[in-house]
Amino acid sequence: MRISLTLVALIGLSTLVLRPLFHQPAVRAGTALRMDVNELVERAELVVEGRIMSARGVETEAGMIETEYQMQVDRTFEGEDIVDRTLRLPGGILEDGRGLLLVGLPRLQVGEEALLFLSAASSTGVRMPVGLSQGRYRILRRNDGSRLMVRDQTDLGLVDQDSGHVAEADSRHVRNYAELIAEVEAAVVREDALGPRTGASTISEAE
Amino acid sequence: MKDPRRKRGLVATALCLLVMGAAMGHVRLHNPGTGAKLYWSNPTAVSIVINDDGSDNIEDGSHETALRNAIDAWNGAEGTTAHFAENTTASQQARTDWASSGVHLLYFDEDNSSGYFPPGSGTVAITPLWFYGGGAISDADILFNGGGFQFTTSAQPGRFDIQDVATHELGHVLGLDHTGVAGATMYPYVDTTVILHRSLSTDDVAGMRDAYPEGPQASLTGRIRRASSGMGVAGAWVTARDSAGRLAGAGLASADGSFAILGLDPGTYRVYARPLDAPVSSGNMTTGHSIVTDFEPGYYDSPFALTAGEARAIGNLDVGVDVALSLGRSSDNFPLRGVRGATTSHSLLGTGLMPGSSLTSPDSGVTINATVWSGTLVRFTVSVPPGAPLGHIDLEVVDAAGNLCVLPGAIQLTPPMPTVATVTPLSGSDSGGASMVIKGANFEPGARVVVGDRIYEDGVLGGCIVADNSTILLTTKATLPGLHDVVVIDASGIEGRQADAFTSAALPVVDSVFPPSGMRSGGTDIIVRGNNFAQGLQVLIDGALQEDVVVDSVERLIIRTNGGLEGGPYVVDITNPGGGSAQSAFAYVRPTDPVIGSLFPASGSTSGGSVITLTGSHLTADTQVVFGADPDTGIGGVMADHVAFVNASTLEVTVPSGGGGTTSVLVRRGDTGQAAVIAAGYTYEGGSSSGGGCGAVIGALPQSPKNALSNVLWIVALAPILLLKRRSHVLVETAKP
Repeated sequence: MRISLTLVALIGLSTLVLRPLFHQPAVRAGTALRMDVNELVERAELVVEGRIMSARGVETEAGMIETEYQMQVDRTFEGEDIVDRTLRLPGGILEDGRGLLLVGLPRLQVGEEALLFLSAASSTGVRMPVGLSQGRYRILRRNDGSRLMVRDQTDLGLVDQDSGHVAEADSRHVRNYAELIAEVEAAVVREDALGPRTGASTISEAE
Repeated sequence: MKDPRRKRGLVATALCLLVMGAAMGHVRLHNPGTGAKLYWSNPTAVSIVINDDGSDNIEDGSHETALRNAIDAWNGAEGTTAHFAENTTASQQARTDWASSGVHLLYFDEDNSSGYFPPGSGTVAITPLWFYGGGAISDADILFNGGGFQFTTSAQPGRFDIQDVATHELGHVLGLDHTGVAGATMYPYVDTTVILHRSLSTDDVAGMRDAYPEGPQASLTGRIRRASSGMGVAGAWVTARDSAGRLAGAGLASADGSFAILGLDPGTYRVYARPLDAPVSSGNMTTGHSIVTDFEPGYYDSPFALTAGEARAIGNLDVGVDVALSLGRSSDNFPLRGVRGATTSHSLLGTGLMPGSSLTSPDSGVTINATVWSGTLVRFTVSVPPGAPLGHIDLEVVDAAGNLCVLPGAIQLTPPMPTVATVTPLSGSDSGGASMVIKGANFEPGARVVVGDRIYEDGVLGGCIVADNSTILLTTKATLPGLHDVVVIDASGIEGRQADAFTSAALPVVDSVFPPSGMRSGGTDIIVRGNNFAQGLQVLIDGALQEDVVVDSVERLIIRTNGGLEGGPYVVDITNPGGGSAQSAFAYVRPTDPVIGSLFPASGSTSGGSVITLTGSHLTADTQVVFGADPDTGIGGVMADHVAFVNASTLEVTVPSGGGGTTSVLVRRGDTGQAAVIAAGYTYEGGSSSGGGCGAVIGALPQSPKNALSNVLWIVALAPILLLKRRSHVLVETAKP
């Protein structure tokens, strides 16, 4: 176990050291850096899987519009494990119809299952999805109960017209659930082996 | 165009279908709650403000020119009423309250004051848009993550090009979503090496015409259906291509497969549909679109002719089942650049890119030559004839089985890169007025020149003139002081620059000229202290150009005189390149300038009183010796209590008391003011260091009345001449038309 952890740590360290040499900093507009799972985990302060139970647009005293989500957490990969978690993300729509759209930021739907990679909470409790839309995978279920992870910003389900199977639309955005979760777990292990993260905020979320 | 691993016979259905009816021209942002498209209710003057703090990475104010160029790119779109109106009042540019609905700010958030850029967010820039339920935009701002990323206006590696990123984000401000056209500004991916998003594609312009049309515009409407069932194909990407084979417009089909391509000019168009799968996919669009990707691209059988303002329904296009062929991935950088009159090499990722396939462009003048097919990659060259018009062209792959894949607008044709060889003059007044000539190559009509915080656009009043392919002429405007790159940017956004090519300097200011006189034979080194001395300035004494002038710094000038007629004081005229000038005075006298050789001993007690020997040449009985005077101005210091003239080479000097440390020693003829100085001539032992006999000594030691008078006398003597000169100068200037 010690050897494997050391190995993982070395691999992780070498990845961090060598990445700037080989990583082409391509980005996707919003505009955000393009990231793989390791980078998402590395940058996230909170990584959780769960179901969105409710969403409510709120206007802050500063005139910002945010959305307060109640999430029933199934699993916490990174961060404090809280079953019924309140998440506050920028943007949203108020009851009077006014709204704030941050282009590139995902908007969670009530009832959806999702895997979220979130930044540390700001002093006002707001978190940002890491890499904008990249920080959210929707979890879709096939008819046979197996699951897929879809990363997009749409309310789109890709479903077989006849069988009801959920389809892969683009390998960049649709992942096998088990494979992606395994990647996340491995990334978390690597992250833990490397010790305290750098650059992460120490501000705690008021929940 | 799908991955071979994918299952066939799949369709996508929206879980929350919000967009009804045909999607228009470009892809518009919409209210995710109601589906209402977002728009400005007064698009003719969308106020925008560039925060003047700029980026911490940009020191010369060029962020403003980059952002203005981005604004101008959208303002240059024809056939639309949309127009940004920049507010440049200082009070507005000082604002940082971007969330206020009263200001639409372009702002570099260096400390995450917005909260949108927490550590690790990976967000480079973001555009918050406030809107009402009906879709009217009430506020929009662009925030750059200045704390998390580096930005550039000069193509520094690894930094994001401000103009490129801003042009894209400004499209969002106007209400545009991402596009499926690979070469468009609203293409969803960018990279630190990309700058071609600075220029709009016809697809971007069509988006503006859709949202904010100016007068009647031609359009094509139709429906994409499955050949097998006749059912509509949701989210098909439909593109119109003009008779020259260039991208003309595009649109996303609605859930029932119907589409509309708006904002078209009169002409003849071929229309095709393709799945929005790669490099742009549904994930790049905001909430609410229904997008299906399991079909083969297909063309309407014949082209369609449109007259001005004609709205033409072109019926149905039936498309076949999906094929295992695709071209382009989001990891490819788009647009690829084809250079007029040159051949460039490229590669693209994809699937099914097997030997036996063909890669072509619909523009018959552009030659595509595929050299390597490796299944997931194709390497190829693009040859563009010298006179080819600029624009975007598609790429088409047909595999051995006849399957088709089209990548819209993948290649942007640009002129060859402009190069800036020389810039004259090298500097000019910061108040402008310098006639600048830029020589180089590949200067195109419509080019822009950026110098510091100023933009000069070809053919625009107050802009520049592209005289020919190698010459650009302009007259500088008031420009921020400093050393600036001179940048020539062509209409596609490609630029050539000469770094540090032009100095913009304020009017020179002369504080002192020392010594105030020198020998008529020339060779006197005059130190001029002041400010705003620019490299390349000219010095005239009594109208004679001085040939040996060194601009030591913006505050210090060294002139070795040519010599002149005995007399004066004469006017010393110092003129910066570009015209700003300042005057002072200098006299030519008959005697030879004094020279200091050495002092012995060269050190002594701070209490003074010791007698030392000063050797040199051309010393006289009335030579004054001053300890601690400013070597550049001759001001300050303490005159020796007693100076005994031995001969023209030797003086016996009684040292005055001093503050300690090494100090200057100055000799000055009492009759003419000619002087010589050694900056570190004498050391007072036992006290603290004075720092070398300049400012510290001057401040610490009062001038003797005689010494002060000797300096003041020259100024008093020259004042009438200078006043006269200044007055005539003003009169001449006033008389200019």
